[in-house]
Amino acid sequence: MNDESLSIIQTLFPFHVLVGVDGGIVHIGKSMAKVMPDAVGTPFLERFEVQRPRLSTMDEVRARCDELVLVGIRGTKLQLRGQFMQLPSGEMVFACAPRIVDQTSVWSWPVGIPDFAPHDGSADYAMVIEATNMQLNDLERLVNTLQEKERAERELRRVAEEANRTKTNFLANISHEIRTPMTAILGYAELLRDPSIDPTERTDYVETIRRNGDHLLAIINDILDLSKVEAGRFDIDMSDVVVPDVVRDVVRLLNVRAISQGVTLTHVIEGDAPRIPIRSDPVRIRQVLLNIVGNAVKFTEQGGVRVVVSAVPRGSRMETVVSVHDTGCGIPPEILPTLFEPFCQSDNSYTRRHGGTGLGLAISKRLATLLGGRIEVASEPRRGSVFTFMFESDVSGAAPAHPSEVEMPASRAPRGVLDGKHILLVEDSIDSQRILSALMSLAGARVDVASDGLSAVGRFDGTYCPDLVIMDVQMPGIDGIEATSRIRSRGFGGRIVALTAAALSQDRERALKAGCEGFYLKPISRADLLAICVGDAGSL
Amino acid sequence: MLGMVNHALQEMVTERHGATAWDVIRADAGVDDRIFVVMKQYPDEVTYKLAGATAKALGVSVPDALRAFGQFWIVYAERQPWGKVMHSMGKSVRELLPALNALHARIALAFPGVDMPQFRAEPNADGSLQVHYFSSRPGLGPFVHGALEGIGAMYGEVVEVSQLEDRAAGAPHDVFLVKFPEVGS
Repeated sequence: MNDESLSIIQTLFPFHVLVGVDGGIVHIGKSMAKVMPDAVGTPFLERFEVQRPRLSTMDEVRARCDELVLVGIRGTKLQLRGQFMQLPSGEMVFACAPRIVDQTSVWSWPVGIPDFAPHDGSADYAMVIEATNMQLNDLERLVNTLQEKERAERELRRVAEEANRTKTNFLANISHEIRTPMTAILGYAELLRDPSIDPTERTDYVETIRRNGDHLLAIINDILDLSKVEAGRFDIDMSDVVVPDVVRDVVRLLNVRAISQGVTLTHVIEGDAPRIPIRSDPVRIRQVLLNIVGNAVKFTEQGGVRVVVSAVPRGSRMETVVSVHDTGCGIPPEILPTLFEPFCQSDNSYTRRHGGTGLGLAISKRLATLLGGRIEVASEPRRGSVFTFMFESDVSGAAPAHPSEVEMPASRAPRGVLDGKHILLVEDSIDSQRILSALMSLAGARVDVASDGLSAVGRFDGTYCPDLVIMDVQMPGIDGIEATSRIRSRGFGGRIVALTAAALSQDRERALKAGCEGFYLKPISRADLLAICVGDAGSL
Repeated sequence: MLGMVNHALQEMVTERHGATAWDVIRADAGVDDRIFVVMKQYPDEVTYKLAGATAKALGVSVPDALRAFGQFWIVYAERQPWGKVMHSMGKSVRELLPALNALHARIALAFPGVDMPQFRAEPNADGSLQVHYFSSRPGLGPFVHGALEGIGAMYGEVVEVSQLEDRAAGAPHDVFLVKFPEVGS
């Protein structure tokens, strides 16, 4: 074969093999040279096997020229597809290209796409195979996406079902917790209707009713707190706080109970850092501490409770840690994971014996989170527990506080505290009228009563000017908010406070907007009522 | 445009900025498809809208976003089965760039209806390469700029890519100069 012919063959078939008359390899194409660089000079049939049609001598090959043949490279799994062409010189050219079977065979050749002749469709086939691979990968991706979505939906369903179960259990527990004191109240009220009971029993019954009423109120307040926290409607009211003062207040408050149980209650302030005022909500800190210190006292029958306060300043931030150590009954390990769930107490008999709503820790945990902190617990049954309340806050910038004695507020207003006060009570419930007006009159006030909003508004003729209006909110006709608005429009500038059983924050906002200066919840204790009357009670 | 282009953009944004960022971009672009099928043809408009919304979300210009996407495109392509094809085309930037047109021609032939760009790579006397880019789609010069840089990164080679002719500035087509500073070119 002359050079010109060889060049044409080379261009058209870069994988070609030129076989001499004696059956030896005379020349191979440049792409084939990458596959078997030492082929030239060796017998063709020693290096190649003509597999289809199966031919074992060069004469047989020569007889089948121009047919499609499949040739394997001995010692490998590589195959070439092409045809033998007989040249006038007696030589034969095997014009061929790699056989591409599947994706694994494509890249087992030590050659790439540029080694194929441009006209060779085998390389296109390689592309199609890779595109198929890509589509398979894509399909897998789509299936994974679908499966992931299904998994997410299953998880959502599981969470929803779990939430539903929790809600059902919660409602069942609430129902039980409310019914228990309610049964006592109704039962003893029924007994009181008997005129023959002696005064001692009567007093005892009334005390039982009052105690159960208090407990019921505590449950309702806790449920409201919990629902407000969970609905994100619990406001954190930032002010300067000196944590040791709050701790001392809590300890002093709970010391009465500790003493009555024969348990010691002490507190320790570690270092000066805790006395640096921080920006936080003292009311909520107090609420959390009352709960965890109160629990510690409640569940400790021997030994004592120790409250340790420490703090670590971190630049403009302060990490405060209050740990409460008790020598109480401890908490069984199986209870610990659900300890902060509503109505979870390690032993229901303790609830009966020690009281409590079963909501305190649930509320405290959520409050701790709102305060930028958390509560951790470590406990050993029969040895005691350590509850640790830690939270981070900004340092206030106010001067460090010196240890101070915080006076307890007077819990009862003395008789005569409302001497000279003129109060209008707007209230549709006869029972409430009777109780509230009696309590205020006993304290020295002159009390007018209006049974609905319209009659209250009617009194304000320009000359009527009580010192205080106590306004029920839900009343027939115009409600207390509308009545307040109309009284204000008649020029009354004195104090009006709302007193309601509706504990929703929107009611409070509506009342304040209408002109009320305070918003208080029923039922209300005598002390709180008198404090409201003298303008000395914090509004909700 | 093949879905793989949109999918690659999605992968780039998701890997670097999170799935939420991609949701924001998709919503801003007004594209409903949550999943792109890689070998399906999508209207070019979808890709242009997604690229525009990506630039907006990342606070960069559209050309800058496209250039970053071009760089990522090579990363994306390399980890697809096409990666083997690309590597078979050449073992270096100098080998691959002249074969770039053959690669795209093969794809165009194997998949009728896919509108593939064309390339021509010409060696300069100083060893650098001029890469001519022809496309029916306007505005993708910065993408090719980034892709050329991405090819350099794929081979671990230092290349300097600059644009000599800009179709957006009125040139008949985009021309890029690829220099290899490590060999003094």
